[in-house]
Formats: sequence, structure tokens, C-alpha cells
Amino acid sequence: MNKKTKKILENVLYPICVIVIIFLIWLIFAEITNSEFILPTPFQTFQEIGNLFSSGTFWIAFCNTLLRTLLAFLSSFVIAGLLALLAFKFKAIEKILSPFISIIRATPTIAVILLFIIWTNANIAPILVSTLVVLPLLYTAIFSSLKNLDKDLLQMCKIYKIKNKDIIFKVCIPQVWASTYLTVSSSLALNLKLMVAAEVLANTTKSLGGLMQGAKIYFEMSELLALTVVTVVLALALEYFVNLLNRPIRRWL
Amino acid sequence: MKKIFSLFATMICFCLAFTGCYDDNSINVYVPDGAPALSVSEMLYTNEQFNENVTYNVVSANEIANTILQQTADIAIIPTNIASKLCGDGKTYKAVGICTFGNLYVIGKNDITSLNELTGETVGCIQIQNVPGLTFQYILKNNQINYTLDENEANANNVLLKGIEGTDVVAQLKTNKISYAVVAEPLCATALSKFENNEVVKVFDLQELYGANYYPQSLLVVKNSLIENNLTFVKNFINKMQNNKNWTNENIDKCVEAISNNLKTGATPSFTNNNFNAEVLNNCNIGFMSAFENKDFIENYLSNLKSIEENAVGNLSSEFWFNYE
Amino acid sequence: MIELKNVKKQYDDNVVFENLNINFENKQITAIMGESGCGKTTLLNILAGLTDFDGTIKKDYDNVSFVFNDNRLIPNLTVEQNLKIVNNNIDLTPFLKFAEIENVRNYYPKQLSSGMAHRVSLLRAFIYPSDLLLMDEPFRNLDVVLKLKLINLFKNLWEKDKKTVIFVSHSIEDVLNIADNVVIIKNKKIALSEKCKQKNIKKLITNCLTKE
Repeated sequence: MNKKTKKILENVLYPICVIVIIFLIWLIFAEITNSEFILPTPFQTFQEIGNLFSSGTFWIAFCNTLLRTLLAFLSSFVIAGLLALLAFKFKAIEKILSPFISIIRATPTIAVILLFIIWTNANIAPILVSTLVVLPLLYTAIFSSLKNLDKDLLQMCKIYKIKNKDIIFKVCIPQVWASTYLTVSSSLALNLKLMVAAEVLANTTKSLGGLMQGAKIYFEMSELLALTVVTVVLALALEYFVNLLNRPIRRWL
Repeated sequence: MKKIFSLFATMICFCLAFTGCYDDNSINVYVPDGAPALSVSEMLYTNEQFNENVTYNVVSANEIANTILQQTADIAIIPTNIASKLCGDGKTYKAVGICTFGNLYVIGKNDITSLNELTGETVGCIQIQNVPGLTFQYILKNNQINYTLDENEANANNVLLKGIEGTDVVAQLKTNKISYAVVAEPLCATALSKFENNEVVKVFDLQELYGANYYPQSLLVVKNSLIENNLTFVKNFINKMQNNKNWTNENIDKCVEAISNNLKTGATPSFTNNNFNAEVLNNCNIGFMSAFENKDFIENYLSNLKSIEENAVGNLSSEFWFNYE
Repeated sequence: MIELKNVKKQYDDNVVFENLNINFENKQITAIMGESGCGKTTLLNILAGLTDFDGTIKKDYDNVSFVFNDNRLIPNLTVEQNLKIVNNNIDLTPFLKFAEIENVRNYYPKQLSSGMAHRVSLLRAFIYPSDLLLMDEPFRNLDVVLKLKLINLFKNLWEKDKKTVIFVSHSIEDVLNIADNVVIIKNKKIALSEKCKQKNIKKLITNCLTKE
């Protein structure tokens, strides 16, 4: 068979096999525990997903969580980008930022969530938490990609008197993007997970986390698992989406 | 091959280790710390064995549901709505009796007399999604008082309800984040003791506000297999429970010890010699009534809770009730 | 003409070269030779305005083209875009045809063979409106066929646009093939500066390079 078909098969067949295996294991364990309060079967869960999809409350929560995630991520990205740029240009700033970034990175996420819930409220805390926790990752990735900019290429640009605007958009940004887009996509997915975790603890109304907390309190295991599956799929979709955008962005740049 | 075998063996040992975690030969009684534990305090104190092998466990409120889910408990006291959700079909456990009849009170900064005066205020509520919160919301609704759980929708014409932890009540009252709090005894007495000069007082008795002066707050459930195999034991147990209130009244000084002796080591007890006295005992509202005889009352209470939150209450089958007479 | 007077380059305690006095004639090709580390690339960098120095350089050029040994094409731009970015105002097609790379004008650098990439780099140097062209070992590590083709392309391009060229090379053969003048830097100064047409030039160069 030709190369293209083989590639498609590999990219599609293997993931499908893995998913099928996961379902089989899930089904086996569900049958063993035999209690829908401990582990519902995949079928019960999917039925519940169907119920969720037809519920207005779910979609409101879904959109809210997604929007909060995107907002938190963009804030983090912009702040990290600015800080990385400043640190790149001014060594003093790099030195000052370094301990802060390390501290943020080292702080246990759960502590951050709990503190922010106390300091702010259930709606703001998740956004702040996600922004803060993802910041070191993006900062480090952007900063190191700036440091690794191809100096030879920049030298060539200087000699040929290439316009600054072109240097930034056609040389620097593509390089930075090429080395950070994987971190970007995994940070976005991480952002979603943090958001949901914070929403659960803060019991944020109109959020996926809030729905999960509600499901857990009332022992609605099917609903809890259904929400979990939805969140997992969303996280994968976000990661996939960013990776997909990589090529077009590079072409556009 | 050797590696696969040793991995397999380790996994089996791992699984076995967990199954051996609770004593299958003894009858396991699980009660949550607080008022429910008081309702069996005589048995806890004397470690009553009924000529069998009985293990008493006082656990935190968070853990009690698990003992039913994992079926480690043979007898347990659990909140009524959770009982309806987890054993409503009667296939694993049956409801035998009501053990606690309401120990919820509203404390606050101003000595108000009418629920209406809560409008525009923020009220903290422990366990806002379970019996305490749902009962309070029902009372508000029944009295046509608007309330909301969403900070963004709070205004001068409604009551903002905020779910808080028991440990946060005093701090939130002191920092004016809430002006009132719905708390359970003995937390009520403990919280009040932290304020001087009647800065915070007891304002409402939820049991009175509910209407009947009591409601079925928690139920005694018994595992079906225990009922089938050892009905005598169950009846003896119930007997003791019926007498428990008298015992506690006469042995107030022994109650704290009874409960703390059966707590997991390291757990913080609800009742201490500092916060327990005759008044607190009275406010805990313990007793025993047959669930079967009062099933209409229980079902009515549950449907009131259901009107607030549909997911909080499970469907009850007729198999749920056990008539021990 | 480019006049270097008493040019000296020093890094901390290390003097690369000093008392460099040399003139480069306009529209002529000069080769710079010498052992590794003698400062050939440094000299090119000074002429390109990339490094500071002591001494004076009298020059009448503004723009400098540079051909690097490692091409240095912008990776996310096509061949055409890489050329347009140095000069947006000319028609590239005749140039591309001339260099026989018209069919790859929309390729990205990573899709080009080594030979084609070199040709783009060379084209770029000539498309950029400059008076001085610097080349740092442009034909190093190329197989013989590629090298001959590239040298040919260079000669053809230079015929059409006679820039002042200064290039560094290790190959006496290449130097004598291309250059009008040859300069050897040795022991921190200029050891030889001759016209390639000179009789016995090869011997002169060899002797200079090998003697202690």
C-alpha cells in the first residue's frame, strides 16, 4: 500500500485501538465493582453525556469555563511574553525575575487555589490561579527561545539592512513560535485543567468545575464521569487545535 | 518471564492487602462525629458487644458516605438525603430509624426576630448543598424570602447564601464577610463562645422554623445481609438506641469520652469537655423513632428538599423501609 | 577605493592584527589568505561594519553584501521572498533564470539542495544594491562540480555588476581563478600584497604561507 494510506492508518488506527482498549478495561472494572456509585459503565457515562449535551445549564457552564480558560491563557501569554522580552533585553530584569518565577513554579497549585479563593471570590480566583501557574512555563519557554535566536541570521539581517519590522515578524517571531508552540499547546490544556480544579474548590457557579462539584456531592457518578470525559476531550481538542494552527501560522508569518 | 510473574504477584498481593482492610467477622458500626455519635453514646461508652463481635467507628462527616458506598459498614447513621440517594432502592441497606431530629441554628450579629430581616444580608451556611443548606433554603422559600447563591446576583432584596466551612464561621463573622451563619450544634455553642458581650447571638432555631419542631436529619441504616442473618442483633441494637437518650441525660460527663474513644487517632473531636454541656446535648436533638412508622414524614421532608435541589434526593422504593416490630 | 590606515584589532589582551595599511581598488576582486585565526574573518567583519577597531578606514561605500559559508537564508521565507526582502524594487525573474533556479522560486530553504541554496545566497548578494561584496570562504566544503558551477555563476554575475569584492579563501587555486589581487595576513600584519597576474605568484603565495 502506498505511503499516504499507511500514514493515515497509523495516525487513525493506533489511537482507535488505544481508545477501544481503554473502554474494555473500563467496562471490566465497572462490571467488577458493580456499583454505579463507584464506577458507572461506559454506556451509562455516554448516556449521561447525551443528557448533558441537551442541557442548557451544561452549555452555559461549558462556554464560561472555556472563555475563562482562554482569557487566563492569553493574559498569561502576554505577560510572559513581555517579561521575557524585558528580561532578554535587560539582564538586571532577568536576575530580578528569576527567583520570582522559581517561587511561583515551586508553589503547590492547591495552595494557590485556596489562597486566591480566600483573597478574591469564586469567579475571579480560578482565572488568577490559571494565569499565575502557567506563567512560569510560558516565560521560560519564550525567554529561552529568545536566547536561542539564530545570531548568525540576525547578523545577516544587520548587514543587509533589513527593516526592523521585517526582522521582528519574519525572523524572530517565527523562530520563537517554532520553539514555543508545543509549550503553548500543552499550557493551554494545563490551563483548562487548572481552571476546572479551581472551579471545583471554589464552587464557582456556571462552570464545569461547579457542575463536577455538584455531581460529586450528590453522588451522581455518571454525571461526574461524563463531565470528566468532556473536559478531557476539550483539553485534547485545544492541544490538537493549537498544533494544527502551527503550520498556517508559520506560513502566514 | 520472571519479571512478568513477579509484577503479577505484586499486583495480587496489593489487591489482597486492600480487601483485608476491614474485619469481615465483626459487625462494623459507623457513625459520624457530632450529634449522630451522641445518639449511640451509651453503646460507644460501654463498647456493647451484644455477645457478638462489634466494632464501633466514629468517623468524620465526609467519610460516612464511603462506608455505605464500599459497604464496609454493617450499621451506619447517615444524613437522610444521602441515605435516599445511596440506598433508596433498598437493595443494599434498609432504613430502620431516625436518630437525630435537627440541630441547626442561625447565629448572627443582630438579634433579629423575623426571617425578613435577613434580606440584603450575607448568610454563611455549613454544608450548603446537603441537609443544612437545603433545609435552610426550603425554609426561606416557604416564607417567600428571595435568596441567591450567586454573588453576582446579590442585592438589597434578597439573601446571599454562601457555603462555608465550619472552621471558617468565626473568622468570617469577625471580618464581616458574613453577618449570619447557619451552624450545627456543637459548632453553634463553640462559635458563640468566641464572641464577647453578645456580639454574636443565636437568632433562629431551624427546627422551629421548619414547622414541625423537628425533621428527620439522619437515619440509621442496616445492611440487608445483617437483617437477614442476625435479626436478633439488630433488634437488640435498636433497643439500646431507644434507651440512649435517657442514658445521655444521666451520664453527661461520660458522653465526650464515649465518642472520642472511638474516633480515629489524631482526628479532632466535635465534642470536648469545653463545649459540651446539658444545653448543647439538648440542642443536638437526639432520639430514636421507627423509620417505617414515620415514612410519610420522612418522604415529605425529602420532597421538600427535592424541591430545592432535585439531585439531592434519590428515589425511594418500598423496599427501603424496614419494620423491626 | 577603500583605504585602511593603521588599523588594529584587539580583544582584551589579545591583538589580532595591527598596523594594517592597505588599499582595496574599486571594482576589483581581492582575496585574503592566511592561517586559521590570523584575523581574516575579523577583517571582513570590520569592513562590514560589524566590529569596532582602532585606526581609520576611508571608504566610499554604504551598503555591503555578504556571502557566508553557511548561506543564512531566512528559513520561513521562500527563495523569492528571501531575495525580495533585500531589494523589493527589481524584477527577480532574469536573475533567477540566470542562476538556473527559477523553478524553485517558491521553495523554502529547507527544500533546496545545498547547491541551490548557495546560488540563492550568491544571487542575494548581487541583487542587494551594494558597492562592496564580502565573501567568507564561500566555496569551502563544496564538491568539485558544485564549486565550479558556483564560481562560474559568481563570475557571470560579477561581469554584469562589477562590485568591489573582498573574499577569504584557503584555496590557492580558487584565488588564482577568481581574484585580481591577493593579500596574506601573517603574524598580525600584512605579509604579502600582490597582483595575481604577477609572474610566479603561486610560488610567492606558497612561500609566504609556509615560511616561518
